[in-house]
Amino acid sequence: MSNIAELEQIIEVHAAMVRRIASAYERHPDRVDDLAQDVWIAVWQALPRLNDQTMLKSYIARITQNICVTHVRRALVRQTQPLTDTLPDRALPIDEASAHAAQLTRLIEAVRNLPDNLKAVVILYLEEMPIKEIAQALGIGESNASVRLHRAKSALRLSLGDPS
Amino acid sequence: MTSSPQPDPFVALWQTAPKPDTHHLAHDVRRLNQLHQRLNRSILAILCGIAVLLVFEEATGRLASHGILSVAWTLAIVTGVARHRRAQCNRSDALTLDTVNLLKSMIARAQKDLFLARCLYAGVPCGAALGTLVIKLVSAGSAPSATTLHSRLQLIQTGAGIAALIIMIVTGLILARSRSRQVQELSEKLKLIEADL
Repeated sequence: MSNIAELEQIIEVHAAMVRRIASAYERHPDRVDDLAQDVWIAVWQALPRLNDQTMLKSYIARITQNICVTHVRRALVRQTQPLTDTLPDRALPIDEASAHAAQLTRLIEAVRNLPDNLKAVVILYLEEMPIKEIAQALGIGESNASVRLHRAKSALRLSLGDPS
Repeated sequence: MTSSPQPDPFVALWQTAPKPDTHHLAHDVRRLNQLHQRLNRSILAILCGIAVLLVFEEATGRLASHGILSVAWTLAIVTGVARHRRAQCNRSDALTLDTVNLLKSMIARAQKDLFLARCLYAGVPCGAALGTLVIKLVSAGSAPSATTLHSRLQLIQTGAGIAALIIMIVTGLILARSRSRQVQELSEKLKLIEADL
């Protein structure tokens, strides 16, 4: 994969997903950017190994997840500022947008605080990956992934209530 | 659960996270990759330059090592490049592994490091003590040589040897401590992930 235009296109489509996953593992916005950059370098290098282009999204999600897991293992426990880069949606009125942004920040924080085994499952679920792909990406059984997802969603509901 | 007709409110909310600015990201990635490759090439060029210099020095007779040094240097470069390539491939493979296998590979790597660290802090002093013992035993049977002439040199050598030994032991202890902690933490995570629910 040497074509920069192709990489640009892939980044354009999947950059938001990479950033969302990274922000679930790392609080500091600058480090989230660094993580995203690491992910894209890794994706660029690993992309020629991808045989099935239809699996691109789960491939990138898996790479992001692995890089984030490695990052968390390496990093010291840091008490930093919570994520502050969740800007309000411009399409919404100011009050509604700020309420929405606050809700999103709470969701990210709640996901971040989940235990690792639940966090990994729920992040991929929130990225709209089917349970089969989630199980494959994590190396666990489908029923196992379903149970974890159920537990993770219960934990999220407990700390956030129902966002709808 | 996977393809529910009604969108999950959590998913809907999660998907509304603001899109990052990707305008320069691709070019930054390319630039970083190029810088990394340039650094690798520069290091390789320096190492090759030293190899050429060694060959030249030995060919002109200014270095009386009879070609041994240049051969050893070149072999070290070749081995280093091969190992680097292998490590790159392994890293790339590890990226696309599933989480369980990724953790397993990380545990294996940490255990390997732990073994090396134990070799450093336990193996090296044992080896040094054994070597000293063997030398003493061998030299006890032979006639005393002119070592007294070089007693100062011997003292310096012994001092340097002991200093190197201490550095190795301390490094080994620090490494072993961090690696054993890493192995323990990773094993706990793996146990948690593999736990039968």
